[in-house]
Amino acid sequence: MGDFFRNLGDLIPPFEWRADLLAPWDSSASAVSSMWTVLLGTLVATACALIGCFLIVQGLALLGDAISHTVLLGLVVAFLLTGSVTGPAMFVGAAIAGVLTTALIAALHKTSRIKEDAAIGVVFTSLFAFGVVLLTKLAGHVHLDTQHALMGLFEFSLLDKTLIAGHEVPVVVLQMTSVVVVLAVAIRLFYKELLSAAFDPEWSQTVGLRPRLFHYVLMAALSVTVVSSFTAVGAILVVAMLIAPAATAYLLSDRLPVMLVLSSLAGALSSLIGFHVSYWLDASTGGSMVCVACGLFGVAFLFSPRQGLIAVALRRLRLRLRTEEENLVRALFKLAPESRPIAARDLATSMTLSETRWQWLMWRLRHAGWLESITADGATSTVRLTDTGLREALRLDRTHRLWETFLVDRVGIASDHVHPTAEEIEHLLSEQLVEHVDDLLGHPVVDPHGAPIPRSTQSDLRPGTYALSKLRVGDRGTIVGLDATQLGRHVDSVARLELPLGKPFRVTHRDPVKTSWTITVADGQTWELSHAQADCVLVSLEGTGKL
Amino acid sequence: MPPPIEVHDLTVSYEKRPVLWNIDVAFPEGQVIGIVGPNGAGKSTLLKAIMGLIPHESGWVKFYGEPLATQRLLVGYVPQRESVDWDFPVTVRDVVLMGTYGKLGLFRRPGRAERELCDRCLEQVGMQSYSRRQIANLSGGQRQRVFLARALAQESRIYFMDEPFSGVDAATESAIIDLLRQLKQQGRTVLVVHHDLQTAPEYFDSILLLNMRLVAFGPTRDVFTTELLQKTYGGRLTILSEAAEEVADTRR
Repeated sequence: MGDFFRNLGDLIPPFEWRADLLAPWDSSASAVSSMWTVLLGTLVATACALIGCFLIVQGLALLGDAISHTVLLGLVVAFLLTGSVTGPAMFVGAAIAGVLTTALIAALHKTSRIKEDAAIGVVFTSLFAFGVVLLTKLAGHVHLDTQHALMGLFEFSLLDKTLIAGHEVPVVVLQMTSVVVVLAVAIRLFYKELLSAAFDPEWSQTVGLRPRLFHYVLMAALSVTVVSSFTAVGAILVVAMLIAPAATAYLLSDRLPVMLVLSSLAGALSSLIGFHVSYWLDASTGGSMVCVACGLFGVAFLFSPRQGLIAVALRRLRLRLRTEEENLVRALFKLAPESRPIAARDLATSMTLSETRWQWLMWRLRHAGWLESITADGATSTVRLTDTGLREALRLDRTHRLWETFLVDRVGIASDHVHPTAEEIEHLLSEQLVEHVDDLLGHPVVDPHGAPIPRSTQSDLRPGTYALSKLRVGDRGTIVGLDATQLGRHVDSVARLELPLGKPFRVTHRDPVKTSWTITVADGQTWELSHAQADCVLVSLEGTGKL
Repeated sequence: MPPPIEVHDLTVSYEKRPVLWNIDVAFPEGQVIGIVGPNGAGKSTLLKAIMGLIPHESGWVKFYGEPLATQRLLVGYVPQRESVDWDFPVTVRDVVLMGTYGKLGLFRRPGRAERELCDRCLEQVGMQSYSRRQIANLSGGQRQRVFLARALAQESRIYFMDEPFSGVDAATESAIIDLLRQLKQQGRTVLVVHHDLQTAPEYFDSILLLNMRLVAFGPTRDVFTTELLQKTYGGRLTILSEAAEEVADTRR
């Protein structure tokens, strides 16, 4: 193992920023050659990234891999027919090979029991091998060999130059520029068709958006991109450039247009950084660029704001801390429901935490405004819940007990089994869902263990307008109107009740079996409302309390 | 006037196995029509064959007396939710906007009018506040409503919905019922694949009972009878599926 690292260390020269970052750009001759290298890398990466995005979102990465190889056959056949491996012949040959590959895979997959992955494997290796055999027979006749096609020769590909407006420009740069421009324009012009074909091909077909045609157009575009990138980075590295920047962008964005831009940027960045890495290590330019592209993917995988490993870990940690805080608040509430001061020591022993963790937890609770210290005197310190803390405790207690009631009454779980589940879920349920469960259960007053369920902290406790169904026995109020959103088919049954609009009343009885509310006005007249009816009636709550 | 959808002698095979035999039916305009039958009866296949998504072996389909090729824009489609990848990087609004693509034609991009239409459609299904969300964060019922909004944005005269009620929450269910009622009031024709026998008579004006062949089609009260339901769900039809297996074997 030691030898491994020593040998590896010998291979890696020390990094000197002056020599490795500035030297390539210092004299005008080397600056021009550096520029062409970085520009070519950027163009290849951009073209691959644009196509790659459409592959990634459709789960077609493997098909991209396949076509990157089979275009070789198209190239060789084009040479046999026209005697040239550059320009239009090359593009047409590649496009045909790409479409043929796609069609063959689809045909094999549809007409036999061969699954798609096996179909891809068989088709692409056979077409590629066929291309390799033809190519070796042609050796000597054509400026192309297997090694070249697979690995690419970055610097050599730049040697062939042409004069444009008095400047020498590498042919391959011109070629890649036109590919990128054509791709960008085509994506903009056919964005509707490409997007809908990628998202929902079957639906697109019913609308007449021709998803199958655009699928093949995409594959032809992929082939052209691959074949023009070939000479620079080679087939294997093209696959990496098709997938890595697009996958990086996929982790970072929610919308396809953003993804297209980000993947192009990731590609350009890989090209620039990769160039310097290759200069520093004196290693293959294409290989270095791909290594950087994969490195960027790794960074996105770890640090993506929503899906990254770090973000997920942080979210979990935050939930754990909150659970800890909420557990303490509820423990305090159980010990002293009326926010009486409690010796901190009593609490600490019930939580089994180390001293530092305990101090940190107390700090967090005070910081959140849930807890206040009455006497902060080390061993004899006492604490109590603030009003905010008490509300939080009531909310948790309510969630816990409602969930237990739900599990016992509706799911049919034995009442001695429900506590652990409720203990966990009280930290997770949204306010909205809790109120929904409350309504579903008919606004129960006690839980299956006979303990009272606290009322919602959002309402009930203070004067205001509520649905009658939120009221409990002893509450006083006045009917102020009907809730139009709840009435629906209950409109007639509510009207028949002839409710005492505007008169003060008291809730005198609630029947847990029928789930009904009985209200009584001053002269002793009573009305009984069903759950659905009580949901429709809006009351102004004037006071809560026992009869 | 010719009926919105006329199906004549339609026979369809799926993976070489005949799944629908000689369907003849003409659907009347302005009704909400349920396609009901057991699992594997070919309900979704019938929808897809009518829309030309699956090739048919024999027969033809006409929309207002014309072939599908000239009538595509009259037809809106709500596929099953599972038919797409919900991790796809698009927002709710992007998906609904796709509904306007058909009318736009090549090269034209959706503009302000299309975006406003799309907001109205989202409002109709109660999803306006979600328009900028990525679709991955939606619940099953919300996803269903996004698909409905996309179909509404197509502004079609005929709608095909594939199991819109399956596995949705109560809010979505009532949103769909409201929507069906509105579409009917506007004189549009809606075909709904449905598997829940309990709710079927409540939702639909007419019902097509299907089990590899058309068992019955007509107004709900005439068709939704014990006798006809038994005929649809009963065991006597296994002969048809056995025959289909044998046909498939010889074709392989």
